[in-house]
Amino acid sequence: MMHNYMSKPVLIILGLICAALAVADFFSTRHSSLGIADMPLFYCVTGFVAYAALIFMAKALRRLVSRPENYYGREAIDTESEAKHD
Amino acid sequence: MTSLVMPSLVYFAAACLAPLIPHARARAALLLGVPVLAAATFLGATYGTSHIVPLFDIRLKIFRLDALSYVFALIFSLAAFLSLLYAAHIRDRLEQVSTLIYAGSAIGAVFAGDLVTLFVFWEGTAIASVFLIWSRRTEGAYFTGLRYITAQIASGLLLLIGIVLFYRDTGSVAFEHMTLDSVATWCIFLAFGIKCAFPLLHNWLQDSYPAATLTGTVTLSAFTTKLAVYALARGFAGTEYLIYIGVVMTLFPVFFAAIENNLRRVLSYSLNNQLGFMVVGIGIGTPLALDGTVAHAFVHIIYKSLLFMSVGAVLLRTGSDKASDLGGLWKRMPLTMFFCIVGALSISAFPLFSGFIAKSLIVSASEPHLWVWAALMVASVGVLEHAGIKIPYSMFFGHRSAADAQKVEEAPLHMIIAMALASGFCIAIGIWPELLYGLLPYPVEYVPYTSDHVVTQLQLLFFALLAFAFLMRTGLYPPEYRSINLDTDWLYRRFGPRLAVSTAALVTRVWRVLGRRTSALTNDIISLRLPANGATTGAMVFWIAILLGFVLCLAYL
Repeated sequence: MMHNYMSKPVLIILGLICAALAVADFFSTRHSSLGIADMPLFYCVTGFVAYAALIFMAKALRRLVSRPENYYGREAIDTESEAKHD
Repeated sequence: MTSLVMPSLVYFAAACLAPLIPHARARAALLLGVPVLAAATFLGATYGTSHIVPLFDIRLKIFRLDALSYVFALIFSLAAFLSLLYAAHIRDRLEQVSTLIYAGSAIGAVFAGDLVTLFVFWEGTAIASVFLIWSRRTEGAYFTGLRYITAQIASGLLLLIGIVLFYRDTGSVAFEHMTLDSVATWCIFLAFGIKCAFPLLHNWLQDSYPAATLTGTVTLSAFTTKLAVYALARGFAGTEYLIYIGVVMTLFPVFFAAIENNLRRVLSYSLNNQLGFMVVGIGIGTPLALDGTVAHAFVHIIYKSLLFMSVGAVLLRTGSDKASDLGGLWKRMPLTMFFCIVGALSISAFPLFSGFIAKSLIVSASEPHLWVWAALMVASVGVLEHAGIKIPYSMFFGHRSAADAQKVEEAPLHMIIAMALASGFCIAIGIWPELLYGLLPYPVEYVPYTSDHVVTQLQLLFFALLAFAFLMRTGLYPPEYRSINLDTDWLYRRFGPRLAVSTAALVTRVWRVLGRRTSALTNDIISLRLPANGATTGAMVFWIAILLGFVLCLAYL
């Protein structure tokens, strides 16, 4: 698994940055032409939710379209050895 | 100005000369000089310079220098230089010559002031570029190249049909702004659309770019699609359809990129998504949006080449460009990792990197269209996912099997220099946006670095990163394994051929059954023998009817 790079210190630093950015939102008032985007924490929530939603939708898509690597056989490069080609 | 040397001719002359130079280093040095020399021919020229050549009763404007063609020719020259530097170790003359003709054709097309000249160079890019795929010299690459060239030629043919009809309609072949009100302009629009990888016309891109040589992919990523963006910006700015097309382009590749295992294919989907931003900008068509498109094309060419270079360097050293094979390389290839992360931060539009100052123009221009703006926000998070996180993470961090198992070296020096140069541009443009803004076709009053803008962008990106960390920790992030994903190319790679085979079998069967039961007379009509064979007048009438029908169809076009 890939957990070893998502160690505690990394997560803590990331968490602190996010907290600081979230707090910063309450010290500024935005006046864009987009009403909804002026709500506090709009971009924080959008970033998190959009990312998670995207991953779950991609996983659903994968069930539908994923095939073995040799699906197209010799007419595709997918199973060719890469080492020799330059 | 008749003494003007066309920049593309410099490339073509070099393409004729280069193969004759036996010494490999001398040849590489000559190649590097070509983009510089070619750029020198137009850098000092003033806007409005043009060169007209009469051909029969048509006046061809084979060279037109204005703000739009200047900035695209400039970035194409830079891309050609970086690609050739990155490929300095290549000894394959075929690949070198096709790179020169490809880049020269792209620059020639950008300077084309009329549609006929555009067509010639348009085909030049198609034919030259396929050799970057065939240079891989494997069976899979051969078939992939065939599919690629079919799509490119289809685009060229549509363009030719469009030009002929356009000339018949208007009596002019000038390449200026067009509206979608005739068959002619629709043909031209679709021709541009194929090269620009519009949704459903896009699959040639993801199919072929990962199949080229590792240096060839870097070259391919710069020219074809951005030439199409240029052509759309010149011909169809403000066409509303482009907003919808662009939005779809920014969104759907994001999902495919997230589950794709081949990293060069991930970057190809990413390229498709980036083109979407540019197409949206062209569709909106305001000066701010068009500036955004041009700026985005400019910075995109640099950071996308940079990302392809880093994957190429890893491919060179490890023999694989698949996420499932890679990981843990940060210790072995620290410089490549650094440059890859610069590219990743640039494409994700982190403040102080080039993507930020370019994409902001398009996103700001989209604000009057709320849902377009919202879609671009989501697409921006998607960019961070596949290009900002997945590419560097899966090569340099991720699981660590590949790096530990073998002794992997850092990338060769010339590749490092090419990546360092590209990184330098990404950072310099990010810090001093006025360097780029000064080149754009319309005056820019936009200020990217306001506290609001920087904070909201960082919020978007860091909370997305937080979501990534969360999904990683909980094991919900999709694992990488060896696989391919079906896309619309399945229709012509699998479904179409199988349908044809089964239809043929069915027809043969019906034919046989019919043949047994019908009389000699009906057989004569069915087989449509020519009169000279002593057959019926019925056959002749039948053929004449077909011919007349065909002529009738032509008349309606």
